[in-house]
Amino acid sequence: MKTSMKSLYTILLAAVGLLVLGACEKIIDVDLNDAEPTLVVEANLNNEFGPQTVVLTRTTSFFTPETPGAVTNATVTVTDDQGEEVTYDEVEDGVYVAVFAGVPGRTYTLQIDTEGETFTAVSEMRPIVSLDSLTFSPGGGFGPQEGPPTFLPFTNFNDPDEKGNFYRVTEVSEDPARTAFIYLLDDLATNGNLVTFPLFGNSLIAGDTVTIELWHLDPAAHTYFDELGNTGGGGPFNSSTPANPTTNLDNGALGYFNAYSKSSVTEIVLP
Amino acid sequence: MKQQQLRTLLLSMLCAIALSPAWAQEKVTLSGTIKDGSTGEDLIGAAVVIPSMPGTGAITNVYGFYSLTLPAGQYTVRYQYVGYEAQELEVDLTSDKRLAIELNPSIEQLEEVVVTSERLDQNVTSVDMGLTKLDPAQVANIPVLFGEQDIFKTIQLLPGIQSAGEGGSGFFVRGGSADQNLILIDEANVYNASHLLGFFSVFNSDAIRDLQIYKGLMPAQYGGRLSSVLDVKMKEGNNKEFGAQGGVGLISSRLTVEGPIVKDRASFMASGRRTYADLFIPLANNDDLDGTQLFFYDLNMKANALINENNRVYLSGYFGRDVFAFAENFGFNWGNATGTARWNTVINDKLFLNSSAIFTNYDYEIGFGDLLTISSGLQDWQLKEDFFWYPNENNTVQFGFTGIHHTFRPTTLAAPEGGPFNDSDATDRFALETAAYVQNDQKIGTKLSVRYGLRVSNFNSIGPATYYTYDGGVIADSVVLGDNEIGNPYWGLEPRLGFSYLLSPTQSIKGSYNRTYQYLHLLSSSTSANPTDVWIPSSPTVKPQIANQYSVGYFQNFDNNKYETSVELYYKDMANQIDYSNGANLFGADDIESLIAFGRGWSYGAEFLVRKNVGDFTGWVSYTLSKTMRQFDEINEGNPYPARQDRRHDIAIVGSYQLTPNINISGNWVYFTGNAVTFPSGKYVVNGQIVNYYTERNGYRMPDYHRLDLGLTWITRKTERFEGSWNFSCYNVYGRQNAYTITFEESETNPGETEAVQLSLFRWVPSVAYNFKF
Repeated sequence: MKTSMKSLYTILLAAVGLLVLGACEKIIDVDLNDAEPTLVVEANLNNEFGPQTVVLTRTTSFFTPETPGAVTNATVTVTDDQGEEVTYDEVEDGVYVAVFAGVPGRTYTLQIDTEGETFTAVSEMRPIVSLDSLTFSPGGGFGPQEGPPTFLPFTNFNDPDEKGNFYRVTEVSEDPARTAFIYLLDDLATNGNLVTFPLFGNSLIAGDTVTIELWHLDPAAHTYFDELGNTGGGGPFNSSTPANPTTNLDNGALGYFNAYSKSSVTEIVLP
Repeated sequence: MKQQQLRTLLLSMLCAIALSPAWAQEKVTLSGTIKDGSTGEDLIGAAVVIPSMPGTGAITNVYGFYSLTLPAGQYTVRYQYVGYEAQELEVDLTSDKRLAIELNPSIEQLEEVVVTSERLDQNVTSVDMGLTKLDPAQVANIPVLFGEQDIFKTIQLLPGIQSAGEGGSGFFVRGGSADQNLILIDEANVYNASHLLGFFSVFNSDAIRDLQIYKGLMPAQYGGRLSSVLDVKMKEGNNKEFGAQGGVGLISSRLTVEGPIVKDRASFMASGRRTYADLFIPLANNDDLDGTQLFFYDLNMKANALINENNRVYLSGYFGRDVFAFAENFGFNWGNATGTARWNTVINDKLFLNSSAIFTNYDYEIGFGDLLTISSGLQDWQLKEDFFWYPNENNTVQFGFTGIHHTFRPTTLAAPEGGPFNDSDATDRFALETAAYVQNDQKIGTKLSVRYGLRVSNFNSIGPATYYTYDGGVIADSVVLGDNEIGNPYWGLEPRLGFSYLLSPTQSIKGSYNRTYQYLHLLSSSTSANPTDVWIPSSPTVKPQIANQYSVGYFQNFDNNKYETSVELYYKDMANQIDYSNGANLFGADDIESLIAFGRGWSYGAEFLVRKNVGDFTGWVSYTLSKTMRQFDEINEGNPYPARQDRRHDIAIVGSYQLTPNINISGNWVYFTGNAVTFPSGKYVVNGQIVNYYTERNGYRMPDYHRLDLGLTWITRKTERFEGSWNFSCYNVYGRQNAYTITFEESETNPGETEAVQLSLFRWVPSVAYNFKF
């Protein structure tokens, strides 16, 4: 529902924009303070056996063209609520990896020790919600269509009966020309239903192969990704005060620790 | 116990009035109404004076009623009102007497722009502070964006009142939030006073007779909002003859008709306005736009009837809506509807009663074809009794009580059975807000006037409902109310105190103390007015907002009251202010209350005003120096930070010059310090995306804002029966690129690099409108 609200405002504001004579944008110089470099954590953990990754960087000043510096020589461990502990290895600067599979239903604690400071975060791996299939319906493009008819994929999965499930849906593709889209869903309006959600993003024609992944998220991770999409005030007309996304890390670190279960489906587009 | 204290207090106040020495003498009362002789409309604030007894007089109340008690005798009584010919009557006052007076507009003053009303020296002599009155017709020449006359934009040019944004109609009063303004149209609360995302207000100037804004000492009859009262009265309708006025502008057209139903006894007024940007869509010849709608309209209607000398009834209504639709797939509309039924009765020569029954509704609806409908709203039913008691010439007592039944409809989803969406299970919430008040305006000698009043307010939730309390965002406890069960009570004691002391006939000092309670809170995820913003009631988690305001002022008029000047200083503290947990997304949130942060705010400042009210040249210069802060434990590490509306300097210069009897030129220039904003102090990368890193709340400033607008009104045709005029204006004449927003984002041309992008709206916006009256 949030997605539709946002596009709603975009349309409405574009319409108002018609009234806004002489509106213009320009790049300006602004004097900004330089905040103390702060630890940024990107930690994902899922239920498939393979490399689980934690990336550690630090913030930089806003206008610097340099890429954020990696945080090296940190100690990274993940412990679950059954007492099993995994230690990550630094495979390249700032990238820490351990090869294992998370278990849905368990709660994981991430601990990072670097330069005498300790940062922790807790995330629950929610049960797998199976993405059963995709449905392709004709259409999916805006405006006049050229070339072969296009199709819009819809998800088919069953939301559990209990309210409070959060998802992230993405298309997995090796093709860099395809737009990487992310949809964040909740079940406030769809609890317990078959969720058929339209995945606007890439035009598909008959014969294309498409892979869609459904992540079942810890609510805190959903909040983080949702706010990440809204950070900066959400566009020129939405003047809400910008803020850092709410993180599940403690001790002032930025970023997130996201334990999730995933399921995916690959289908060939058939009319 | 509180009630006991209250009763004691009320009794002692009444005793104070009754024991004043004037009470003991032989007295008679002169009372009645003062009306406009050309239209039959009540004149608010018209004066009755006895020239032989300086300092003795009365002023009509908001319903046009006056009452003056004098020793029995022969008097010359003078009735006067600015812009009207005064009338003097010889009155043999041996017993109580009722006189209904009609004053005629004075011919030579008709062309003048008079930005005041009442007695010329009212601003010096009255106890009122932080009060401004505007007559829409009298500020009609001020140039505004798109030529759409809007009283909300005019009041923003006054000291202490700030615009919420470029071209917008929202405003902040003395550091208060936008939801702390009580906006009344014919006594009905308007919950969302803006159209089209705040660029226009819901008030069509043609339908408005009178406007008062209180930013300081709030009379005890008003309550429910912390920072200001904007009391708007609709025209009553001419009860002498039919008339119409209207206009055609760039954005909208307007038409108002009024006239007698029964001559001199009953009249009506109906006024409509509609925008028409979307009427041109078919001309665009673009099939994609077929079925697209984008407009708003306002409809004001009022009727009144004099039943007999002592009784008069009024019915008025406002209906307005914004409609936006995109083919059949999508529709979005929102708006207010209000209705007021009023009964004025003169109980006796010294006691006047206004009874009102009021309805108000705000709602919005978003439809996605037949897939899903989202809606939310708020509805009030209110009863109100306001007494005006004139025990003797030195005291004017107002007392009364009111009760409002609120229904809050939270965001609700409705979807067809078997579809992908469920109906939502959010339930309506109900509340009862009541208040009783008493206030006395007392003259002590010829120099000192005091006002002391007390408003006692009470707020209760009404079941069925379950209210939760939270600890760190987690439910800690709950309060369950059964059907029609009342609970979660809050009491508010709201003293309203003020004085004015005349240093000389043209100089005075004033002071006031004011406490206000607010039981309803607007949750807004942004500072611009969004139709989907939600009002919520106070609850165990959400405490009432409380403000204390202290102010002192110096007032002086020069050159026979041609120039008014004033300096006011204020300090205001505000408790239980609300904000949202960082980035909270309100739409569809189940437990909205758990996402709110609570803190406090304070604001102080100095306001300077120099105003010229009469003559060919009129206008004012206003300057506000102020500071507004907020402090929330959860925000900015608990450190105080400037509120968004914290502006150090705010200047407005407004001028209007009558060049010839038919041509008026006008201009205004505004300057203010940029708002406090939050800019990033660093950046980082997450999921391949550059993310801004924010460290302090509102730690930066937008660039200073300034702008000049010019306007010209040219009466091209004027006969006894018809008047037509053209209005030309230009907004932002020198094309200053004022920053509307500054965003920090990844460069589109150099990916990986970051830049600051400033968006400016509205450079050189010319507009033209044709207005007529017959």
